[in-house]
Amino acid sequence: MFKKAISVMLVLVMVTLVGCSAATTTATTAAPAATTAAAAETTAAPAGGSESYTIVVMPKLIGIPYFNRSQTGAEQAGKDLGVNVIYNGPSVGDAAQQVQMIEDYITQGVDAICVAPNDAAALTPVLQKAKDAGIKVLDWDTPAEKSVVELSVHQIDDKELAQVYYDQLVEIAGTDSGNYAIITGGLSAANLNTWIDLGAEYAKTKYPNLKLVTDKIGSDESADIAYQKSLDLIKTYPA
Amino acid sequence: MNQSPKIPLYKSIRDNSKEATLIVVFIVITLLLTLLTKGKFLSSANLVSMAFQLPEFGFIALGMMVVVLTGGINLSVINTAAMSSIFGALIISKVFNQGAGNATVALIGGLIGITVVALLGGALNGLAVAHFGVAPMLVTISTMMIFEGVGLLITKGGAISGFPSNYMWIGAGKILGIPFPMILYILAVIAFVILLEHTVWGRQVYMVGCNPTATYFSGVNNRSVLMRVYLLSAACGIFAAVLISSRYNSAKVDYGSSYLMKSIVATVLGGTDINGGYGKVIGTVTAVLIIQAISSGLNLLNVNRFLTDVIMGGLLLVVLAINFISMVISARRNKQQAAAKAV
Amino acid sequence: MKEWMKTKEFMILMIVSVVFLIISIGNPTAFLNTGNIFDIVKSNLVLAIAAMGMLPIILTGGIDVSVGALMGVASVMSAYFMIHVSDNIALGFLAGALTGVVLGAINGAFIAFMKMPPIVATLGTLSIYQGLMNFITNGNWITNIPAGFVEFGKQYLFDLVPIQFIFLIVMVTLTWWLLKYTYWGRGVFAIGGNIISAERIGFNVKKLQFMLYMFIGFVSGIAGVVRTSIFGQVDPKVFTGFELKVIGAVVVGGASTSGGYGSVLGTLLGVVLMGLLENGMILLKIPTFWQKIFIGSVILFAVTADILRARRAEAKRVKVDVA
Repeated sequence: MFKKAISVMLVLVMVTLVGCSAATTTATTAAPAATTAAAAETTAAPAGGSESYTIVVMPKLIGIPYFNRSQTGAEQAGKDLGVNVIYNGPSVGDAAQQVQMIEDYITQGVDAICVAPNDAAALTPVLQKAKDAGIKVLDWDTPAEKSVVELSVHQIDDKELAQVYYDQLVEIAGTDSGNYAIITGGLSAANLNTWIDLGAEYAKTKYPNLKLVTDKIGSDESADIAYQKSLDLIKTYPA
Repeated sequence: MNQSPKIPLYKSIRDNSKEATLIVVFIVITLLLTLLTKGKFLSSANLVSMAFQLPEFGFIALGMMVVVLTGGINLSVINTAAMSSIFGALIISKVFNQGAGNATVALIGGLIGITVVALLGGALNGLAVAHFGVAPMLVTISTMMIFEGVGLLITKGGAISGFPSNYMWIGAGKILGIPFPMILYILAVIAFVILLEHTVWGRQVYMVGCNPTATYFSGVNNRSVLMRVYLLSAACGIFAAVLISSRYNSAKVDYGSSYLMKSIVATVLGGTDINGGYGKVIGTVTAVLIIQAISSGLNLLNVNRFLTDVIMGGLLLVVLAINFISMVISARRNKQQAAAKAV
Repeated sequence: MKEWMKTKEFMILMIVSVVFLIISIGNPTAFLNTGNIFDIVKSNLVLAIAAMGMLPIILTGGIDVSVGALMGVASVMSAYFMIHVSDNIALGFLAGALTGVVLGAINGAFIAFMKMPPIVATLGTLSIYQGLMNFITNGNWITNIPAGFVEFGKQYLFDLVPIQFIFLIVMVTLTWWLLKYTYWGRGVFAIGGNIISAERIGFNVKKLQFMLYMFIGFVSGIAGVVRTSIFGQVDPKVFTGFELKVIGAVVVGGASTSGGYGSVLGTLLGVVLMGLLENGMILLKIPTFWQKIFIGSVILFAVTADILRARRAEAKRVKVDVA
């Protein structure tokens, strides 16, 4: 029973860290991340354009392995398509900083902005400004408000992803009844919360015997903290 | 006596040398950025953009500055703003969206909510620091956590949004082409200058920061001065909360997290003595301008944000070094003058 | 004995005991076993080591908010060293420590020789060190640490005590010895008490402060590499914001922010308290969203209680008016 509990915890920990910073799982998500960014650009640059377009690709924040992959993809796409790609983002996942950077890009007069919003609601006013200025707006990785974007590029369907989490969980644990807990990268990360909520709904219908023992626990995007909390969880809720 | 009319001006610059240095730095940076961005920096689009962005940070910096003047520090200023904005957002969305209510009522309710909550937070800080005498750093480290926790408790990590357009106008509207946030900020700065530098209470704030014991023995009620300082700091949080929630159309626990350290940088860069007792509002404001200019300018130049952080840190050290060197020079000059006089 | 009961350390010990008791009653099976205790130790080792470096700084009335960056850069440098130069474990630690010393020396130069206020100087260097490190590594984790080092980090003594515990013991003993039995240690307390008096008595304040910031650099460097050994890889950003925790632990442990008062025991208790609170939150099944409020309140309560104790002691003290 204890072994099952460990595996349950481990799966959840690894899987929720994927959202932002795990190195071990970067390999599997690298391909989608890179292609997402590339796809975003292909749509931004209309085919057959002779002038060089300037396209801004902005992640939630820079300096995270996951988004570094996106950078590789975006810059490669820029070379392939012959457009000028600016890959830049805030140094922390702060929506305020992101909004300011976008405002400055509007001033600069770029042709398109592809952004992974830290917070959809916070970015709506500035993205509307961009749209009003004639700049094409796209979102990727995390959806922004539908009314301001031309196109939304999503590396994976949220609902499906959440379902896969739970299906895998049950598969590895070997049973569909028992206790489980969730450790999330950040309590206020919108996409992680979406996955968690969708997954919980799915679990209610498909796996009614899975019991969530406590509210989701945040790890401040730190593997150290996640490790520590997992240990504590295993001790508190054995089996 | 050979007194040329230049001397009084020179003397007043010397007395305010720290602030003068800052203004010079600001002008230099502006010129540099304008050159590098081929004029875009001074374009009306950018100036308007900066004028919208600056005030929310500017208020936080002011909120930090008043506390530092008393020799303390307020690490909870951002979270006070976040927490109150969350309460305000809650009230607004409930009244406006669910109560099918009047947009104006929602607006007023929200503003009152923000004010009350922020002042409560400030009172908690003030109580611990002024009445119990606990070190400000300790108090504000813990209240920082508490306020963040309260915010998390209400929002569960998510954001509260859905504000009526009259509320959003606060953050996005313009009067005579000047962004409204900037107008608020300018008015606040004027009020601060008057309050801190031209009233008795303001003088008392500086006194408490300089030497609390002597101040106490001169008959000043340290406790009430300190309590009001923390309330004033929280009041700055009110403005920041309103501006942030209005501009970003939502309230969330972690908006503006990068502003905390930056506000300490702005305060110190602005010439405020970290041990209290000295600091000019105009200095802090200039520092805020400098930080904003660098941030926007480097964005326009596509500089990696990490390098921007490095530059801001470096700037702080450079300005402090300049202050130190000028202090050494003037000390030496005083020595020479004293020696010359003694002859 | 009664004298000791009046100290700050005793009060912190009381608070720690109360928290310990509450958790024990709340969840005895999970909490009261050696496995759990050593897990808490392991999770807070790095914090404890870093706190040892911070203590002398706070004792002099200073502060160093660049600790997080010091640890980060040291761990990155030591990793690069071990990967590209030599995979000798001892040299790896040395590389980290050396990096810390160099960065700390830069801090020290600003603070001791250019008379910059510590909080300001270290704030500036924090931005610079962290910004440069983030820029160069771009936040990418370093996962190809030589196997020898990774294996070393996984060792346990008596199947229970993680090997990094040795580092903790060494650092604690070193700090304690330095503060209590060396001229340097005396100087630290003197500066914290009254910097001008210390100078007049004959302490070379500048040199002392400079060495002090190199010390915290050294300790932080070691702490950074210890963390690498625990986790087997380097995440440059993991120490972001760590300085607040370190300062919190030292200060909750009774060290006065204006300097002159504090002890190794107190700091350790401070770390223990923080560790217990984190562990206890989950063990006591306190809902996630209440946890931060809880921890903040406990700290606030602890520091307020401490001030009240100090006041009462002050009031009871017999004052003699020299007429």
